[in-house]
Amino acid sequence: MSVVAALNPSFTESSSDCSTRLINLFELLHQPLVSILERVASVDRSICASVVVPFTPSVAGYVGVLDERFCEISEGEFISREYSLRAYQVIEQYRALEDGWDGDQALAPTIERLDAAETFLRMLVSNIDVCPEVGAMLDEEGVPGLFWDTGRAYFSVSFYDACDLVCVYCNRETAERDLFEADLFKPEEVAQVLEYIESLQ
Amino acid sequence: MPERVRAIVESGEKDKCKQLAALGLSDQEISVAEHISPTKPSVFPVVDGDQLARVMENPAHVLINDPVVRESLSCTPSAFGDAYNKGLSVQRLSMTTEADVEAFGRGRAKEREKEYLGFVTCAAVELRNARRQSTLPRLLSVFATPLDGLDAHADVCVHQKPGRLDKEYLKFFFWDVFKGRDFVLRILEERDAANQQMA
Repeated sequence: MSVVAALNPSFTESSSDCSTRLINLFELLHQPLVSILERVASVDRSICASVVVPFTPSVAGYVGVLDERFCEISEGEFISREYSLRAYQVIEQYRALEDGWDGDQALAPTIERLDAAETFLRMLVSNIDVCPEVGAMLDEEGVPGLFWDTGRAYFSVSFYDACDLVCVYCNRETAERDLFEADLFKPEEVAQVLEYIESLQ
Repeated sequence: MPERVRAIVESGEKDKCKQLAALGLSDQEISVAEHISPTKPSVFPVVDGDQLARVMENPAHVLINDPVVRESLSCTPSAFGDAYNKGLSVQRLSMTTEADVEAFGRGRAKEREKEYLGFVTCAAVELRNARRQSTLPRLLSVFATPLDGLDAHADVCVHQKPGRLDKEYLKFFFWDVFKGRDFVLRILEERDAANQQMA
């Protein structure tokens, strides 16, 4: 199960401020939201679809502020973007694959890798309103990935583990190229990944 | 050393790229090895100007009917993800025809219970020039590896041991040099045209 943070539609701050707050949310928690959710769900299954996090000014603006101490982030408040819908569908379908899916020795993707891909997609749609349609892909070692190719530029992010991202950027017009790794749960590294995706527009 | 390279490349073993990588060859050594003639006398080494064709297939073994999902498993940069293990099989268009490549692709896809999609091409020199950075050694080598009944067969080998960054870069590189985006757009156009005709 993964968790998304939703924006309060009545919140009037700019989307970039909300993006910063989303990244700060992960930073202040210092650990994957999924693990927090699991701990909460183990105590009270009636709230297994949401997570309660300590309230600080950096999480203000999220849906359902309960009181001055806590706000609730609910999976039902998920923001979807058209550019990501197909990739979501494909990543979900990958969960049904088994070893040998190519008729040879291809490995099925692990749950951790697919969860990482979905978590990243949700971070993406929470931060970027508009971008080219994202494609999903899977290699024979069971590494899922997302990629964009506008003709002018290319960007891919592949999910090697629960938090290990490997990214490739190339601008065909300027010949600029960047290859780097990032940690899904380090906000400053995710921000760099999102910057490249925003530049594709 | 070049003869040892030749033996590995002609062995047909699935992990030939790993065996090559273990040799730790310099650019010069790999270039010498590439220009050694294959054992079949009628076949010459691959020259830089050779146009190479790579057949593209959909994995019909996957029990998913959604065409978008199936295409994500074959018409993306990850379709080249196994190159650093097994290398890439290609055909030299100087020794065959596009019609014969099509026929080969359709026949092989049928045998393997897969869907033939078409083929993509690039020049051997583009592959030989692949480097993660300009100061690093070459990543790819191209060898003539004729098969029984297929003199035009060649292998593109990853002869350096790749880390994750190399592996992901190679996915993009092959996608780019074989013009994968244009290939996918062409397939989609053909399918739209076919659907409109049926309608």
